Amino acid sequence: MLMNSSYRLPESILIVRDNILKKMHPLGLSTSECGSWCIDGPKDTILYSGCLYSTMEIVYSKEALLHLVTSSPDKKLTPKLARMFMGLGPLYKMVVSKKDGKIYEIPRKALEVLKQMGMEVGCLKEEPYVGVLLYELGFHNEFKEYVNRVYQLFKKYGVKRIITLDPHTYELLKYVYPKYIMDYDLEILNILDIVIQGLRDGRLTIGGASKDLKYVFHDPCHYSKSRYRKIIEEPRKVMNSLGLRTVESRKSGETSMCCGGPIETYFSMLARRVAEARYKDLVSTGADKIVVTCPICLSSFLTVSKDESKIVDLIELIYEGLER
Amino acid sequence: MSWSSYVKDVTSILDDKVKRLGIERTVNHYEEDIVKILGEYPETLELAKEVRKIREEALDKNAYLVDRLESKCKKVGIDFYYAKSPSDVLRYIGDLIGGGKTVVKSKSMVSEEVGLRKYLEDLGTEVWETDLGEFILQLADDTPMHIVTPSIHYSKERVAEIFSRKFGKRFDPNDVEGMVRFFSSFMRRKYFESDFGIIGSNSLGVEEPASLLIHNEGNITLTYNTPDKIVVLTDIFKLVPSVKDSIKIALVTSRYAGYRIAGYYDVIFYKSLVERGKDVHLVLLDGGRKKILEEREFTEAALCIKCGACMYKCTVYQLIGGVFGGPAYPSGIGTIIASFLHGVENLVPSLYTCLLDGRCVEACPIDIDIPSMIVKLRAYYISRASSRYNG
Repeated sequence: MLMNSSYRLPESILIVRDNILKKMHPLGLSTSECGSWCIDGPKDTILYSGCLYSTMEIVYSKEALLHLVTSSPDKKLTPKLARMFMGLGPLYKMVVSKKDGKIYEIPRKALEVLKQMGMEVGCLKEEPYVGVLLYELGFHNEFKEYVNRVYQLFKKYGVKRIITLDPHTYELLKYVYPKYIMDYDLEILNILDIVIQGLRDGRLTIGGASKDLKYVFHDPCHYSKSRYRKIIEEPRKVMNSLGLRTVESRKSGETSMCCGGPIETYFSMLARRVAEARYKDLVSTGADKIVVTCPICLSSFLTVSKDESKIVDLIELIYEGLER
Repeated sequence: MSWSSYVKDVTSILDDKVKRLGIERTVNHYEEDIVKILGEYPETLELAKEVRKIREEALDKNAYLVDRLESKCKKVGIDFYYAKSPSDVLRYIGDLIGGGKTVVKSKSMVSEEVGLRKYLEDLGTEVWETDLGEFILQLADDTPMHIVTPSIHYSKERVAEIFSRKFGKRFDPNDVEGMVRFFSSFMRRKYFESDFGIIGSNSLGVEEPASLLIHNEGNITLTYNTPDKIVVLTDIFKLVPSVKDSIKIALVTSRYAGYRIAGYYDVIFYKSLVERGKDVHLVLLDGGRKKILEEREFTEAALCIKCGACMYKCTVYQLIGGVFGGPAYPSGIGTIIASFLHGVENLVPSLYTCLLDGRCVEACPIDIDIPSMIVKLRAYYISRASSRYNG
């Protein structure tokens, strides 16, 4: 409600932009660090994480450190230091890069699920970040230039089909990239559709979940309230196939609530309050486990919950369902 | 000055348990009520689609409707004034009313936008808000946090405290009816002392010029009936061809505002006011709205019928209320509209507080794609301010 013509974008937004343009990643990870989960290398069809899982693993595990820079948009001094710090290369890398952890492991588990279905799926050892922050923060000229670079990388590795894991990468690749890239011809598939198809034609069998626990699904905004394609029933179908006992939150489907993640980069203090409100809401259903299908939601809830076993990604559940 | 005062406002409301409780009570009720109401009146959904068409067509010929309204007003015998800017509104109404008068006014977001009450008070005129919610804010020297329920952030306890302080006697917070009775009898005297009545419009039909006003307290009827001189203050987006259009809009507006049926829907034909000897002035504000019609990427925002549904449902609004959004027009839609009324560079904090989660779109009766416009508006801002952020 304030009127003041001298507002400036928060410094951390500008750092994010510069990092993406210079290093192809908001926190300055290299493409090979983003692709460190990938062992096999490229094929016609690849599983692509958008580098969101590695990124959110860092955001979650280094939360206290990042909070110094991102907690509030009026931070002045700290971001300047952060910029210097990020320029230091090896020292900075030592602090931020993280090649293990709950969130980090998800793409590898997803790849295993796809292989179990008998699919020929590769991945990129040099994986570019998908660019969602450039788009959402409004750097659309930069976004156009950036996604064309990403597209060239896909082309360089002969990629024809991409399977996505999370709502942001899916929405961007399927519906937004074509508006910014001439003659865009990648086929974009959603892992949920593939899993459901596999369950239907028998290539995938999962199940055997314990009936002792109750699960609640947290709809990610860019599935449940998408302007392009609403994905609400699909994750629930998968949960049913797993034989899970489920409950619904009073804010589910199209009325689901945000996890706070989108403002994490520059207003994490408020993002945290949003996450707390939503987490409280989900816990109040009496569920033992909260199921998510977006690494940003996962990181947001892990941060406020501090109990890693309380929140699970749907991919983790499918992966566990395989082993039984 | 930078973001720090915004962050301070955000922090202070996050920590204000009383305000948070007020907002929480209202939004929780709303979320339950709206499901019931739409269940009981499923035809509202179809009507809402029709309203979107009515609004689209009306905006397409907005310039024509403005001209048409001017000639219709002349024919009917009321003064028509087209105000380009808020200061034009203040100058015109200030000259008309002057000092030493008593004015009763109903709730009007345009009057909030231009700061009318304060301006008239500074001229030495007594101005009374006849809507209870606005009256509370007037006593507390505060501003509205919602376009339908302006004092959403006030609990009955805080209201009792304010009444007790202002009127020098004790009010019991649990006797809400007692406070309402006191307010009504206090206001009744003001109606009969008043020289001017100021009203707004939820919608304005042009062909037989008439304002449509929705209210629950009966106050608006008294505001335009008691005084001899009436000012209708509204904006160019409210114009639709006919009264019939206005009625459809009013039904959808009130349902989505959370009322099965509102207490009152007044259709005020200017002609009948004139026939009863009233001196009527219509003030129509542009104030930057034409710009929204020119910037086609953002014109969808002008379809808004101001029901407030998106605000109740907004994740950020539920936490920090009207701190998020533009002055007088909170939340995401308010951020977009205010960006053209006050300059996008003044709305940067709210522009970057939106979570883009889309609860507002799901709530909106006419399906306005607020998050997409917020993203475009960020890009619009950055492209205009690029010299600040490059190099």
